[in-house]
Amino acid sequence: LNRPPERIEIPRHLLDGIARRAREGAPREVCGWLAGANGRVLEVYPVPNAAERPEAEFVMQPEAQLAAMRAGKERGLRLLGTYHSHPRTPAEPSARDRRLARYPVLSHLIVSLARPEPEIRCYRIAEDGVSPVELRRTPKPGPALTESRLRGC
Amino acid sequence: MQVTLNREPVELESREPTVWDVISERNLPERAVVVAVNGEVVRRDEWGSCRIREGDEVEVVHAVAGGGGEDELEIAGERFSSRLFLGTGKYDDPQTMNAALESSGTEMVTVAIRYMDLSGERGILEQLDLSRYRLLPNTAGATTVADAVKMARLAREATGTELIKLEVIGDGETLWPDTAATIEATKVLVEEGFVVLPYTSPDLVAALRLEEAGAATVMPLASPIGSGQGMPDWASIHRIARRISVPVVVDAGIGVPSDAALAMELGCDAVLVNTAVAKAEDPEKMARAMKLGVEAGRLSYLAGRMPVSAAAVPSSPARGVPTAG
Repeated sequence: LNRPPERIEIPRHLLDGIARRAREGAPREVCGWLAGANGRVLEVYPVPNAAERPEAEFVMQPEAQLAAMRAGKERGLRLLGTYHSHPRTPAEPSARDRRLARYPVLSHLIVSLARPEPEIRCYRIAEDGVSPVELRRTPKPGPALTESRLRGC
Repeated sequence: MQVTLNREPVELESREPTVWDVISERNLPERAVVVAVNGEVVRRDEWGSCRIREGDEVEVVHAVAGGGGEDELEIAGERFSSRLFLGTGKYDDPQTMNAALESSGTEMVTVAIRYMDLSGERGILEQLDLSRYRLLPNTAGATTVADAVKMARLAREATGTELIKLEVIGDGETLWPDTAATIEATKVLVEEGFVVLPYTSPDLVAALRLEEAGAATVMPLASPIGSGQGMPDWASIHRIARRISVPVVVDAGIGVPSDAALAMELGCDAVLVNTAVAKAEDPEKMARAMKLGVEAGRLSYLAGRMPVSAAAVPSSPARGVPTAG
């Protein structure tokens, strides 16, 4: 039960937003949280990168990391994963990503800017190894589908 | 004493423990956690002095960190910080060679197998500090697949390295590579477990075939070996750099650091230089200049150059310029 879904769903506009932030932040790495429900990302929380050498690494700024975690919980969402960018290296967990990963049950999304087009991949990073998580891009939920509208019907 | 830990009520045994006590009691990895008391993050150097009191809300979460790492060159799983490879031929003496290697910052040096005295004295290998440099034996002098494969096996036997810079020369006057034979030799050597770095012509299709054959890098020439003519056909090199996924290392013909910088600006991954350093008036100084040229070119590539415009674009805005009358 402590396993993350082998697949994570994310609306395209949220994914595009992450890629845009990665590009704007380059050459520094950007990072943040993904929150949602039932394996579906509903909210992205960017967190400032407080690493000493942000071109090569990221460390979530502690206050902002906690604030983002609280904000997600207060909205009734679960933390589904993290995201961060690799401005110059591939969309694969680096040695540092593996060494410092502390959330084996979450999905870790990596945006690589090594190629002209951003490449986005998702992984589970546990002590016993790295496994890919399928990233399913979904359309942006329209207003007619939101919960409040449905309840109003 | 009752506190809230991660939103759950918890009974602590000790009275007013420090943050440090709570962390160590729970066996949490100290370097990897973030602690907040009543919503305020407690910095690590305050853990010993910050006391937790009755009713406090304590949060302890794992820190999130990682990152893409350095801009390193990776060849067959091995990582290099320097993108400049140096040859070891043509130096006046070993002292000059070692001074040049040192100031170039290189981590990979290539040695012709025919200059390794494989029978007794190890010749040039004795002069090199192989704890500092990765040795890349090359098959210089080979003109057939059979020659090159034989040399590669000898080199592996003598040095224990799987890396091989494959050269199969097709024309003795220009030292132009025989790409068909190089592709064939690459297949043979990859099959035998070698990590093959083939020298090739600046031809896209030859580069693609080498990559398909399992080459660990593709090493197109900028101009003929030892000529110092630079990179007259930069468009062909650019085409290869754009299409090939394995590292592209420009090999041969580099004369001055601006040639090396151009190769790197085009998106090549590394540059191999020999004569331009060995036969410079001051090899040590030129080695450092090459290092800087490679670094400047790489940084420029990562920074992304401005777009080229056919027309002039004024540097200052036209608005607000005072007009006469």
